[in-house]
Amino acid sequence: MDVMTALRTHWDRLAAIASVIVGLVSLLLGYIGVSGTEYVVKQMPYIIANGLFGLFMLGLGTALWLSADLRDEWRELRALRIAVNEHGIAARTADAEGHPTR
Amino acid sequence: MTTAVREPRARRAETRAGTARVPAYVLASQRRTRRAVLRGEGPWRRPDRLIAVGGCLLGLAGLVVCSWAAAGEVDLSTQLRWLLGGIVSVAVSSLCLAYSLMSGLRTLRIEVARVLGTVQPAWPTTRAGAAGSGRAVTVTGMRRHHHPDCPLVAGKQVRELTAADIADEGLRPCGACAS
Repeated sequence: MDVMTALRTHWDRLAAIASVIVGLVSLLLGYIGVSGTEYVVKQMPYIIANGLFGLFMLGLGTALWLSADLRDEWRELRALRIAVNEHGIAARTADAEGHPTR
Repeated sequence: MTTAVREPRARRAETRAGTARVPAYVLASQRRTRRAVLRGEGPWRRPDRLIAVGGCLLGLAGLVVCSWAAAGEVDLSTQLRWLLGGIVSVAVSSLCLAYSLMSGLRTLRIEVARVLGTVQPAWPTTRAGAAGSGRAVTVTGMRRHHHPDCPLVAGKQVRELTAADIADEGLRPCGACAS
């Protein structure tokens, strides 16, 4: 799998990484903004806009990554169930016809 | 990262070696494509997706409103109210995302149960096999029956069970040894 194909098919993981990076940058900017002023009234917008937004993006990134993992697990399980079902049908057919499956 | 990402490389190597016999429909089912993800293939129902996306949008909108309103205030007590609003917005979106993940996990467990339900009838050494051959044991107070070698009953005073005993006492199979 080349890089472009990986990026296209794993766009949800890419979005997760981007969300986490945006969240970290937002937290850093918030820290810089808060440390640049002495007044709490001026610090509060940084806390809300950068601090809470950064936490939101970190949570979103985590959820996106976990959902990508869940989707992969679900696809593997579905493929396994399809394979098992097909193998069972093939084995029953072979038994009915008196042939070994292998 | 799960096995789904790593497996294709190994499978290609096996195919080159001529050892793999994976049917095309299984490969097609395993294949991860952008269209499949966008189309909504996954362990989520439509309401779960709506809750996740709606919760995120709601949280984001709440954050924007609270941030904008707090920036225009000079009174600290009023700003604290907007801060509280922002915290609530983040909490709402987090809860919605957590619900979506839990819902996906639940669907995944159902899928596992389906696979096991398909596999276990063809695997007579599990469950009834061990119990039917008199190789199931339990310990007084336990609500599950175990294989004699199960580490959960190692060193304990066990008693042998028959299939009838298991049915009478309503014992469930151990999740560790699958007796």
